[in-house]
Amino acid sequence: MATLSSQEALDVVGLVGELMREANSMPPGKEEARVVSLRKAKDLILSKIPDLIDNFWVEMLATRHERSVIMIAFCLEWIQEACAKEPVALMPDAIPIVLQLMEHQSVAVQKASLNAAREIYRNAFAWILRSAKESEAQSVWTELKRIKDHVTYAIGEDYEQSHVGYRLLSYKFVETVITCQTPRDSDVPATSEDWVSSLDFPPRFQFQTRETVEEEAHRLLQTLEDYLTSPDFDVKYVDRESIIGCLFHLAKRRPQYLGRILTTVEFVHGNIPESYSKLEVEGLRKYLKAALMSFLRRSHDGDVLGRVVQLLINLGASNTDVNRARPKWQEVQKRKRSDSSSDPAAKRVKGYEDSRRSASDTAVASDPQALAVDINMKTIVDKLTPNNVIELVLTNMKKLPSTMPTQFNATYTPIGSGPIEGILQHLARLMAVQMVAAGVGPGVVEMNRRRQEEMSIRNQMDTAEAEDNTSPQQISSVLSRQSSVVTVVKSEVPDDDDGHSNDSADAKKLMEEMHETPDAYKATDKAFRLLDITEPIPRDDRGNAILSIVNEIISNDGNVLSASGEYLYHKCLIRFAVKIGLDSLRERIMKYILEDIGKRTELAFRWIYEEYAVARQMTRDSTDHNLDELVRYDECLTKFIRGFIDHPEYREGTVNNLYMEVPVVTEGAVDLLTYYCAARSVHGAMRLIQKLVSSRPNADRFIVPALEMTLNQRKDIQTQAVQTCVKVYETVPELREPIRDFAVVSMKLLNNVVQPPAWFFAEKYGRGGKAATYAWTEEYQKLCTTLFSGLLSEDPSLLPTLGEIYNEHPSDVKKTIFKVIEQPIKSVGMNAPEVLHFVKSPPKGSESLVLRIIHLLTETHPATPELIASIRTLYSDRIPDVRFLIPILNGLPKEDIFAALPKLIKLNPVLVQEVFHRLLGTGKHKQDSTQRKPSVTPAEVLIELHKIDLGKVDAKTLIKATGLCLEEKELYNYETMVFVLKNLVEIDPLPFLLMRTVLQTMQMHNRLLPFIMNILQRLVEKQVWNLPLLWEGFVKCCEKTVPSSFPVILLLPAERLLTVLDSHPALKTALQKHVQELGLRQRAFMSQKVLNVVLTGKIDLPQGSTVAEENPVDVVGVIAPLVSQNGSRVPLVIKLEEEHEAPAPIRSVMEEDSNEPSSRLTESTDDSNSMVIKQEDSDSEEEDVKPEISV
Amino acid sequence: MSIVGKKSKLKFAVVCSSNQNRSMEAHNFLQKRGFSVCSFGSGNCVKLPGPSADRPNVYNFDVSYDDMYNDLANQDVHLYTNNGLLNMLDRNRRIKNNPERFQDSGEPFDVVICCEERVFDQVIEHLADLNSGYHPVHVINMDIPDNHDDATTAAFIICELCQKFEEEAEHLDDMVSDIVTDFEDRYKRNMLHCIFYM
Repeated sequence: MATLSSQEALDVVGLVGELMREANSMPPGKEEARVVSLRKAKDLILSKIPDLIDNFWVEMLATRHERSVIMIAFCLEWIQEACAKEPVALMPDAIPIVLQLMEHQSVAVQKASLNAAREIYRNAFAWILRSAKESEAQSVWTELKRIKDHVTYAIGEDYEQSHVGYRLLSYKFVETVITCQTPRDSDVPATSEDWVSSLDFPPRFQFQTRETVEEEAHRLLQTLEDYLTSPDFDVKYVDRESIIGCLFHLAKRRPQYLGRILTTVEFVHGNIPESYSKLEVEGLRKYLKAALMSFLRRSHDGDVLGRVVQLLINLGASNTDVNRARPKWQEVQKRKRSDSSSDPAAKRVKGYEDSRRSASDTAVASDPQALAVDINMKTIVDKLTPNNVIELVLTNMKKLPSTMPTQFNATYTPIGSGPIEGILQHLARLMAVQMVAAGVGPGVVEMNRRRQEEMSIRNQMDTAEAEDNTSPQQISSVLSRQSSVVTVVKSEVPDDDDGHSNDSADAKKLMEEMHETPDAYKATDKAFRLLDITEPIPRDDRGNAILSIVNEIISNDGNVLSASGEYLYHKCLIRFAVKIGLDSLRERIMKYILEDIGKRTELAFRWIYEEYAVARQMTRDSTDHNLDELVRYDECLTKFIRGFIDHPEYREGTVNNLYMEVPVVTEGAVDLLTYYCAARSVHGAMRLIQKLVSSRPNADRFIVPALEMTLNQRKDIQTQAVQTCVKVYETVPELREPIRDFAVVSMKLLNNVVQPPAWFFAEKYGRGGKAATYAWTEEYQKLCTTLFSGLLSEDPSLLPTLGEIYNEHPSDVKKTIFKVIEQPIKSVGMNAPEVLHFVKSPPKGSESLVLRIIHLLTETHPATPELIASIRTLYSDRIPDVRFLIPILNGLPKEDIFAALPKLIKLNPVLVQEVFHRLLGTGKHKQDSTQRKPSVTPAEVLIELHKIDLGKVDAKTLIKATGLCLEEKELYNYETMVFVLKNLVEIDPLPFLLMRTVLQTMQMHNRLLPFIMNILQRLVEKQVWNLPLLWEGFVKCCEKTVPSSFPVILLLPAERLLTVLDSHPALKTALQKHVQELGLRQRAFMSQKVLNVVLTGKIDLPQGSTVAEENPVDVVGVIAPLVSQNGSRVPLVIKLEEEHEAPAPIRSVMEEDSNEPSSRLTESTDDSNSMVIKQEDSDSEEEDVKPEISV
Repeated sequence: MSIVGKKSKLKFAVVCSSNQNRSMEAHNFLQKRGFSVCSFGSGNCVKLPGPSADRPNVYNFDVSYDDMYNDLANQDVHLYTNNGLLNMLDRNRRIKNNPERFQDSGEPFDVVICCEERVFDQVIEHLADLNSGYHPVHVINMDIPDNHDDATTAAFIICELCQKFEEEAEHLDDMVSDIVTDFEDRYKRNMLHCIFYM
């Protein structure tokens, strides 16, 4: 380049310019020609004047925007070649473009860009190796890292997204990276292809060292290997083949990895995914075989070749094939065999170590998987003898499927003939590979340990790197790490000289570490077996020995605890308790726990859980599902519960925890709740039951003890149980049904008249269980109903149920029910719709219950309109029994009351009394009446009573009823009575009780005498003598009211008077005396006939004979003004003047203060709640009176 | 079943043991349909049936078909006309000059179709030996008995196979195994597939 003269340079520039113009001027569709021109220009620039790259860089890059794939490919070509020349300047520009093109829509472009990336990488890395300036090298490295990260990220991660073509090339890319970043064999002369290697990495660089670079390569190699050996069948055979191809290609150029790669290949071969089709399996095997054959031909490493040959034979290659590839192989083998030590395993390991050592002189990494296979193999090979191999085959023969799987057919290759050791070794290796894949054997343990170690080292590294990227400390840390790993390796890999003995010791140790080695792999050396010569210890001795061990552990618990920690200690004790079925042992440990339940609860829990786990295990293993595997668990749990309950340091929380936290609460534990309740704490047990019910599944089991306790004899238990049940009933809807059912059942117990069922006296109910007492008592009856009544107060919807049960009960039980429902019914109240509905339509036969309920409801509170409506419906539609009406009498309208009155008074006296109490608001309903005004007044009641037809009710009842009324003197004061009597007189026909009432009134209120006279006078007018019932009373009344009644008597017609006087001589005498005392004027008012009757006892006197002094008759009449229905009750005293003047108008004695009583009465209305009587005006009074006066 | 008029995107190779019968039949067939195809043998030398089974005619690969034709014609025209060898060589010499050995050819192909498992083994052994390039190559085996009739039938199948590959050229790597499996089922022939870099 430098040799170009300026003239030549100018020519080149001109030529390039021309070529570019030519290319740009070409029309679309002629891309190929364009590329030809461009390529020429590119070649000129790169070969002649690299300085021009800068000038044409952008222009050339523009081709990447073309649509044609060829053009883009050219662009990549340009980038690739230009970057090789000037990586520092160009790569920051170029890499993003390449990465971008990797995502191009055309697969061809993607592939081309990957290829370009690979070339760029190698060229740039080569450039770094030769570069002098660290800063430049570092910037190039940064770019390389970008591209590397981008490509390698996809492997394994991005599998689904990328297509196979892309993946195939990315494996190649990774291979190139690994090749570049690992050391080449210094002995082998560097070809132009292979010379780029980490061996030449400049040691002076700080940003990266040879070690870090190689470390990265190993990581990538591991990634590839991991991906290759992944059991995931999604990893296609194409991928596996390609990766194997890459690995072998790598192994050719970096022989130090051959051993490791072979192990990987062995692994792949032994673990071809079963889901692969025949085509895939065969392809993969063919591939392996071809690759190995090619190796066999080239490699010089004898030990590796041994493995290769073995693998090849596994893959179905014949000896002839091997011979053809390496004619002298077998001879070499023979010679070696005679030379080498007699122990094939040691040789095997030695060979492996050799190959490893060649690899690890520069590299720290070793393939853990290979190591694992090796360790496994080492372990197995020692154990294999021809005999036990035969045994193995025979025992496993049974497990073979009936038909041969295609997989087997495809992969099976017979093991060739040869020396026994060789075959065993081969077999061991095959088994080792499979064991590693299955994750068993000591090798795997070791592998995992190593991986972890490596991980932790890497983490340390990363942190160190993060702390200071360029510090020299980093190097030292890497170095120290390296040495530490090397020592680890050393300690595990014995020297060649005494390898044999150490190996076997190692193997034994490893055998001990093997946790899950299948039996088949274990030693079957018959020479000495401990079991054969040992006699079993007698069971008792064994038990005693174990017991004494446990005793020892327990008695030193402090020491043991501090030495082993709680966990181990617990585990140990529990293992003893659970695994060894020795009752005395269990009791001992149980006792130990119960000695200090404060501290040892945890232990108890562990034990219980362990028992449970064992039980579960049994369930899984056993096919017999009837087997009750929880027996021991139950026993253990119940013992603990009981122990905790009886413990002097009893704490509610401990017992609760026991119940709440154990995996399963068994029946036995549930039964213990009753015991808990009776023996320790009623409240505690009840709280526990509530907790259990609300937080454990199958809650219905836990409520059973509580339900049973509702029948318990002990009052406190019983009450608490009922409360609990009611509470649960409210809060846990799922349990409503069982609780209700139980309540109903216990109620129904009462249906049996003779005696309660036998179970009622079972021990758990605390009744002593004596046969003699098997009979109902009122107490028992109450017991049976308490739960139901408790529920009833919470849930009135139980009323219909109650009605049904009630119906079946014998009568004495009904009384009990009456008593017990009092509380719930009152608490429910009359507003509950269920109550109203029940009242409206009670079940048949439960009328008395309804009646009782209504009574209870209205006992303290007046009935609500709704209740009244319900009862009226019941009365009118279903059961016309007036008793229903009694409680609501006050709420009924007047007409209804009066309609029912005849029936009401016919009831038994107590009820009648009650009726009147309610109607009049007296007795215990006094309070009631102040709150609620009855719709009828006492006066109306009395009047109504009088109106009742004798045909409906017999006289005696009526008399009693009125009697009851009139006993209430406060209510029926004289004013009321005046009103009543006035009204009564107006009734037509006159009530037959009228005179009786009049008489009673007279007795009650003496001051009414004038008024009564007035009444009598009215009766005379009404010709009372025609009504026999009244007439008798009338006469009686007159008799009693002498002398006031004389004027009335005298008003009687003479004939009537005569009969009266005849039958009542006393009256006659008195009347005679009275008449004689009268003045003449007064007498003049009297008819002659009457005078005759009075004075002579005869109506008609003989002619001429007159009574001594004739007219005028001086009569003083006291006449009560007879007024209309609503008239005044004020008695009027009529006085006739002695003189013969016309009688003065009768004046009411109370006329002056006629307003006063009115107001007084209005006031009194409020107090007595009785009635309002209007003061009659005096005019009507006068009118009424006048005819009398005019007599 | 032809891509005449379009440019073949893929490069095919058909390989049998002597590059005489099966590979040449397919070569002939594919070439006429516009595929970019080469044919090869994989054996160490070219073997043709002789007067008896233990006396085959053996040539080097660089001997031209024409020379072979003349040689055989000189030996026994009647025999080699009757068994169809002369006819076959005549066809071959019109396709190309001389048989070629796969192992000696450095050309990269997209798809290599082998006509016999032994051939396949040799091919992949060679490719595994090589395996140094960056171009993925699919090697496919389809067993074809070495006689004229079977070779003719197989040529049709190979052509169809190549047609499919050509259609999926863009995503060849992803599709090959599916296509091969499909053909295996359809024609009830044992097939093999491997992938190498060339």
